[in-house]
Amino acid sequence: MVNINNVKILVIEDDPGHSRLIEKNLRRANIINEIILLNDGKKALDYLFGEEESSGKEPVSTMIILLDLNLPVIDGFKVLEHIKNNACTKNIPVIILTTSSDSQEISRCYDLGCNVYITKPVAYEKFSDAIKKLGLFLSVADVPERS
Amino acid sequence: MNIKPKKSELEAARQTIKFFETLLRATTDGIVITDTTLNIIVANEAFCDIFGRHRNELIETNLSVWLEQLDPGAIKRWTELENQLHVKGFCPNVEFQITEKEKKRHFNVNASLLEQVACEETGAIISIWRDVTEWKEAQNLLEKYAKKLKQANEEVKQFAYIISHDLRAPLVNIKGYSTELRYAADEISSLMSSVTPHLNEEQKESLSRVIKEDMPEALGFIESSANKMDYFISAILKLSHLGRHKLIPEKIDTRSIVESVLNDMAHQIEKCRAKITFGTLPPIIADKTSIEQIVGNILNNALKYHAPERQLKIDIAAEQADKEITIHVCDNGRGIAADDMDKVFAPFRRAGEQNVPGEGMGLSYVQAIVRRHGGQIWCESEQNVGTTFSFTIPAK
Repeated sequence: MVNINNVKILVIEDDPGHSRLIEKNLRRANIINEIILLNDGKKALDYLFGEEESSGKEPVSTMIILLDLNLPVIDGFKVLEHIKNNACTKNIPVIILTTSSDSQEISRCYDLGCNVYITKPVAYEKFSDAIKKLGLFLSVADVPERS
Repeated sequence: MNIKPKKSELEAARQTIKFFETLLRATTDGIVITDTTLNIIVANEAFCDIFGRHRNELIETNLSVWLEQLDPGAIKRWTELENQLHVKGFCPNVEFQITEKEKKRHFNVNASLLEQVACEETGAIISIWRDVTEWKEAQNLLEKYAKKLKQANEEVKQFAYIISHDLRAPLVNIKGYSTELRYAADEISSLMSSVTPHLNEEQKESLSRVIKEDMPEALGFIESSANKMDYFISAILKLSHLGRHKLIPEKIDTRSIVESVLNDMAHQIEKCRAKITFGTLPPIIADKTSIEQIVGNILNNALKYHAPERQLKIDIAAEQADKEITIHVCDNGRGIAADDMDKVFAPFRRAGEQNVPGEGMGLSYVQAIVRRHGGQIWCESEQNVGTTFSFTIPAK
């Protein structure tokens, strides 16, 4: 069983305003975990599959990923696909957090293996509520240990 | 015994020949008669013009020589044409092209077997060559436009997506950080009591104005504007989704739809004591929800924009033609000024005095739905007299 407080939260989001709002609201929901902000898809893949990891230094700890879809360099769909197609990362819970509510995009994400899809509501109360609930969800989620 | 034809018979025969020669000369279609080995027996002027030759150069030559000058595959198509001739006696609509001074001309050829007329032993083939170049060019142009239109439609869809995503992202920030500022202002406010003893009266007043009036006012405008923008974006998105919504056509009892819509509005109808009358409303084939939306929206407008000084009367009538059914909703309400007529179906536009709440999107949605059904919608109106909205639904 993983100690939930050791779980890192990886926020892959290109809008600095959004990632800061996500961070602020996670903190408001009493989430004390380490939060790592990455602002494009390539940086996310480098972080997950890059040199640091394969060099066998410190294994990447268990984590939860909050992923936006519209990302520069490599988009969110591709990032999701890479994560879910790799045996080492496929069990990491991936939460899509994006402004699109297009039903085709939602089903495409589920087809690619995302765990939860959340549309960012424009109304801030709803937005912060969604993040807080997400925080609550994270605090009870069973995060698998990395194999 | 040698039977010599009478002079009058010869005359009659000559006249017949003359009649046919005139006919052949007068027609704009190329006409050529060959025997079954394709030797040209008769060719009219229009046919000679196709190949740009004098008649002497064509008569008694073989048509296949000339077919070779046409587009590649012409010989093969002619062979298929002949095969069909021998089976059915005729062959309609075979296409040939000829390129002449870099201009391509298109011909539509209809051929028939002439048995035992021109050439008693083997029969003959008559083919009529119609120049369809202009028609073909018009068709190509039409296809080109259709392709462009399809492309433009795709771009509009793409545009709706950009609106939904790219414009919403900054809005999340505007609303998010204005709320964060509100939290900050609340915190400053709660710290006020510990600060005020150190300030003089003027400073106290200034600080209180900033915190209690200026900041909330500014934040209020930021938030209400962001809300409005969010509404606009959602409305445009809804408009574009209407264009994609799947229609389920079924046979609809128009009268019962109208009645159920009126039933839902019973309260408003009673409130302005409206009198509603019907003509005969024939059944139509359409998507039920769409028709409810169209009728509901038009009737709702009639109720909203009634003239308070007279009893509201609404008449709903239908006109049935072969290809479509037209439904008219006629009221004696406040009417629309001639200058405002162009705003009626435009998104976010509202006409006349703004004394009833509305977003200006209703008729834009209605127009999108009617068009989706292949129909049209329009309105006629006179200020202070009334308005008639009419829409058509194709009869399938």
